[in-house]
Amino acid sequence: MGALAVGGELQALSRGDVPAVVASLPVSLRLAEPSDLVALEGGPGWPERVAAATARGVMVVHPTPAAPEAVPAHPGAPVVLNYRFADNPVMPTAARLFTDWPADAMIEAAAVVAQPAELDGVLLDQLATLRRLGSPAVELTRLTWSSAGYYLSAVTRTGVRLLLSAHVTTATSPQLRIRGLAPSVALELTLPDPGTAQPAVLVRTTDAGATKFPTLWESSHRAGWRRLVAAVDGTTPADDLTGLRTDLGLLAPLLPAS
Amino acid sequence: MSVSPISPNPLGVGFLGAGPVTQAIHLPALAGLGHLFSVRAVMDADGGTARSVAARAGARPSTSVQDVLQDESIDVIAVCSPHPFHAEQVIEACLAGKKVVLCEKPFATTVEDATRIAEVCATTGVPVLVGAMHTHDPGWLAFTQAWGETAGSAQHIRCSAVLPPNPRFEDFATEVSHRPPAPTGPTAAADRIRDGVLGLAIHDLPLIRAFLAEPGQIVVHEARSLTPFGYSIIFSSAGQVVELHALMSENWDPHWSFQVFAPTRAATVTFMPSYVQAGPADVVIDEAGRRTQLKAAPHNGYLGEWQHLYDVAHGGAPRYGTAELVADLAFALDVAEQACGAAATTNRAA
Repeated sequence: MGALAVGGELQALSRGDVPAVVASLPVSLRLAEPSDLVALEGGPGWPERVAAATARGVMVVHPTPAAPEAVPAHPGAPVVLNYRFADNPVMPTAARLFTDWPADAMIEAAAVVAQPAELDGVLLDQLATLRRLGSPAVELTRLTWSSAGYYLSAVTRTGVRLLLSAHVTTATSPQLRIRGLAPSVALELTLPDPGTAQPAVLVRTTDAGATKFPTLWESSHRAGWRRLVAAVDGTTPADDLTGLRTDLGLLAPLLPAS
Repeated sequence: MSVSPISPNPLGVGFLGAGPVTQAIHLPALAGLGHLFSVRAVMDADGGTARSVAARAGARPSTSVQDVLQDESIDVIAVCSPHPFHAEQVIEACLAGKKVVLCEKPFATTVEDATRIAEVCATTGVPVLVGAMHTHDPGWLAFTQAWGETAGSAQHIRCSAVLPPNPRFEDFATEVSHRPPAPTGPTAAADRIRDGVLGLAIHDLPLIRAFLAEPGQIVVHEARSLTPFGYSIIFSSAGQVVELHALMSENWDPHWSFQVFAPTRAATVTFMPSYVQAGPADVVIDEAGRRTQLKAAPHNGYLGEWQHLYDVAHGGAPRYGTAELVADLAFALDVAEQACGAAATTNRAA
């Protein structure tokens, strides 16, 4: 298969750093019209634009909450949801470490974002991150929500307690930190903003010491495009929309009325 | 710091209670301040413990509170007994005319007792300090000076303590004599949370209270106990939200941090674990694209509170007045009570 042509909405190309990503995958991708793969911006109306897309593959950059019923059940082409944090390439390794996480433990997911307008999107990102770690939330309760951020409580299907928070500040770079705390082991995963290829940091600690896992110098944007290529060429199917519909159903009652 | 480097007349210190806190925290701290303090007596209800601990400090042992209070060579009483004895022993020490009383946290178990202490302090003129090491940590003091006005200045306040069991750190600080058996603890979630708040969160509740504009108006949204020992509590006060969580586990890596988030600035204060003579807290402030790491005096809060006590004994003003200490305690009891109520609700819902 030759390099796939990539195009899309201007805002999606910009927010997803698509030209830079394509330049870093020159054998697989090239910027060209008409495009084989299309990048769509994840703001309001993205499910309808996914349904209308005619490309061989669709990338939704930074998806935000939408009505679950609007999300296509059977899109005409593979769809990858390119989250800021959940698409980080460290996730498969982290997911292995979170396998069989003890039910009497807790997992916290604390995000830092710059603007209150980012809160809906980062919550969806947190839910996707937990899902990709193998610990999806099955109940979600809003504790607090304001322009300063939020706190939500949840549990997984195995009873692990989840605490989701977001803090709005321009003082530091956006990030999502996942911390698993169990009686005999702790996992800490720091996911950086995908503006650069700054690697995630993954550390597992027990009573015997701490293990820091190898750094992967790749942004979630680039990792997402590799996933889309693999889905289009049939190597690895993308099933992002199925989990998304479940997460959207969970959070729809909790989001403040706009 | 106005501490004199050499004092011709060190202050005499008497301890009420000789458990791990006295052995692993105060005696090692005072050993480094021998030019300022001299330990004269160590009292414990257990005569063997009193003899063993007194011997290592070159002090005389006792099993009688009154014996220590009436000792005129003793200027400072350190109350390190079990919590229920604190209030009465502090009051008796004040009435005995000591120069200063240091009491381990919490210095009372009810607001009424705390208020009585404040009244006795006012009547006798004897200042009382509470041994809350984080409030005396040079890192914390440098942070509050750099941050400026604290009340109402952050929307989110987060305090996380993930710690191995205490004996790991006690053994770095001393060789513990007559270590009491580990408490079995209550099994009901609400009671476990009360113990957690008044035993562990109490270190940081004064710091949290300093950041709240309306600390008397808290609402607890959720409280859960964690296994094997810990808690997770979310509460708010006039729009500010506080996250308090702690877990004591077999994980070797201690992590004890206090964080604040404001629209354009944020800070993290990372404290050392209890008992070890390490410090100060590490402080990082982020604002406007600039990260500032503060370099505070190279000691911890234990040494800080004794150095401050020396100043107070020589006429200096206490860093935290009795009204503030009473307010800190009332806040802690309020958090504990409301968290217990929320935990009971959570458990019923589960």
